[in-house]
Amino acid sequence: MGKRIAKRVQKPKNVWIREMFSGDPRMGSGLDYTNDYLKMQAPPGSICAVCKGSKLLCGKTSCPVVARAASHFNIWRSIKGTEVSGSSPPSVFVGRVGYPYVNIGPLAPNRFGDTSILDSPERWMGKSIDEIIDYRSQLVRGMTRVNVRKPEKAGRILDRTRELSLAEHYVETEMKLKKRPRRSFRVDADVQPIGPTAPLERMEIGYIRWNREMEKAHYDTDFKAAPATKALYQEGVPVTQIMKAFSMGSFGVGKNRRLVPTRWSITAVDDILGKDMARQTKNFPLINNYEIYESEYLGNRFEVLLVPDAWSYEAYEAWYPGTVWNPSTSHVAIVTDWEGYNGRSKYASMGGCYYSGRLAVMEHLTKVRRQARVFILREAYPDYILPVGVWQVRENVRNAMRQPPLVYATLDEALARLQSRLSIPLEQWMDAGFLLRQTISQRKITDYL
Amino acid sequence: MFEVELSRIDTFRNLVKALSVIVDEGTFNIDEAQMKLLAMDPSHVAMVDFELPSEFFDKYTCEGENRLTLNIGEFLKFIDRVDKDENVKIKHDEENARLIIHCKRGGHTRRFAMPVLEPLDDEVPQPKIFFKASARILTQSLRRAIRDSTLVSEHVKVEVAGDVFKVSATGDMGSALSEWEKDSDELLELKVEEDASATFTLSYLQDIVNAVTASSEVATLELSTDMPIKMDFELPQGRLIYYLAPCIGV
Repeated sequence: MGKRIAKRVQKPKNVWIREMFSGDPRMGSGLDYTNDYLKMQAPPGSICAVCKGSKLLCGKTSCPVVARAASHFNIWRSIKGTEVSGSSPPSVFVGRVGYPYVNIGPLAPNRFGDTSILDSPERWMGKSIDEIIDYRSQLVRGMTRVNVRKPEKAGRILDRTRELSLAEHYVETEMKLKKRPRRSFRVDADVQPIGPTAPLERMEIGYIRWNREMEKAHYDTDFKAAPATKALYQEGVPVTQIMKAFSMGSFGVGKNRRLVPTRWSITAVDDILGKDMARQTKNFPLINNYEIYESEYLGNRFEVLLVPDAWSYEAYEAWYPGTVWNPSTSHVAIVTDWEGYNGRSKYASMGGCYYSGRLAVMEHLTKVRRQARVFILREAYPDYILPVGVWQVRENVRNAMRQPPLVYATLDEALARLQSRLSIPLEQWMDAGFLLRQTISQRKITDYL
Repeated sequence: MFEVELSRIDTFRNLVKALSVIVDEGTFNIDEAQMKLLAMDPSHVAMVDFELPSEFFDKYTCEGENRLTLNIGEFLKFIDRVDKDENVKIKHDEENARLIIHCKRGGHTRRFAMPVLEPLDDEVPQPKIFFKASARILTQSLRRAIRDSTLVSEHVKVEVAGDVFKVSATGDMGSALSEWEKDSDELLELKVEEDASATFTLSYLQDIVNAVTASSEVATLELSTDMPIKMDFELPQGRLIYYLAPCIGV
């Protein structure tokens, strides 16, 4: 006679993750690890499974999983049931997966009060990576699926989300979710910190005051999106606010309006504004000397070199082994892109950072009314443990441009300074790109007059 | 007062196009006999020396010295709107600082106006270079060699060595080489006082040669080692010369 099975018990999964967390004092000792409460998943073959947060096998200077987990657990404990109510910073999200059918929705933390800092990258410069992860993780995201070209069909959720995106202050928001947010926590080194997400059933918002300028642009259905973006920027609306409203399809000619995935809208706004300022700068006189601006933040060093020459721009990024975009263990990866006097029409292969950096430098050049050839050199070190978003590039370069410049009379002196600040030999930067070498080797016709 | 008339726009448009690849804003110096433009690109790497005699136009009226500063790219956009079989009249309206472009066909007229800019104050002199070698070559042939080079590199070496004229490029992806022997079909003339070679940025050369092919069939290139190249593109009427500064140590 066989044995009688009294009860089937599911095999516990990923025991090591629990060990890892219970062993870490930052996680708090009172955590409840029942399967029902939280699921943790690691991708197969992940080095995290071997490392368990202790050996830093990924090459970073601290464990990104641990950094995210602390915030993740905290926010999780604050959500009871399927209702989330709190002040939205304001914040909205438009996904890009499945375009043109994308997930959109509002983001709000589960608490009231002034939460505006949670989604204002303009104010994040100088905050630690833990604080930034915390900001990002606090925001609960309600989701509903919408066709980007037919937003009017999505009903009240979309209307209210759009209202949020036009607000100029934090807004009390109530979200009724269809189910509790997914409990899984991805144990992976290179995941952007995001808060809990769940499908949205309905939402209510409290008193709201729209930004006057954005309201004007929103109701003007003959005002194209690009000029509207420029006008709002001129009026002093922060770029991240313009990006939110832009992503909700609040601007543009009426029949062409559509939702724009958040990621794309960030780059679209960076590009529209940067391109416009580049056009303006062509009317300004050249700078007189070689100038260098520097900034280092969140494991990213930025060196901005301005050369007295007609407008053109080249950006470089060097990723150390083990940093987010370079999983290789032995080689530094350099990515680069450039544009000449007449700009570019193809999307820069290195992505949104190209445009964010350009915007930050152009803000400076249009302010001082000067023209220059611009180089941005970025080194990302192993203490940049998590990708936090392109705002980091924008704010880091803006910070560099706020510093007093280092002024040099010759290119050689300026390059020597760059070399002293960068750990990768300049020769390797030049091999990777075009414009820097070009600047050194190209003679001018004026040398022969 | 300046006014010209043309029965066909295409040759003139091709010339404006050839200017537009180098010049952003340029000042035409116009007198009774001709219109002239001497200008550099915004980076001061290339220079164009352009001259068009009054005979080029069907009707040419100019009183005294005239300076006409235009955004060449914008000018080209307007000129592009003119149809081949239209009669064109281009006129400088000094009072309103406008350039007026009249097109006429049958009883239908169209009229464009574009802004005339403030004259640029920096008068540029011609570069003074003693060239050691020169090659007279078919523009098409030169263009092909330059397009070959774009496959492999961003720079191109132009060289006269003995009785051979060479255009070559080397890069990570491989290399490309064109050689013309003296007295070959495409190389019409080769004068060598001294061997010469210099390297240039391909994008400039490519832009220039691509735009000029429509206007000119034969080019005379003059070279000196590590000095600017002079490219004289022969026109039925007028003058079109480019200077391009070299790259050192690429």
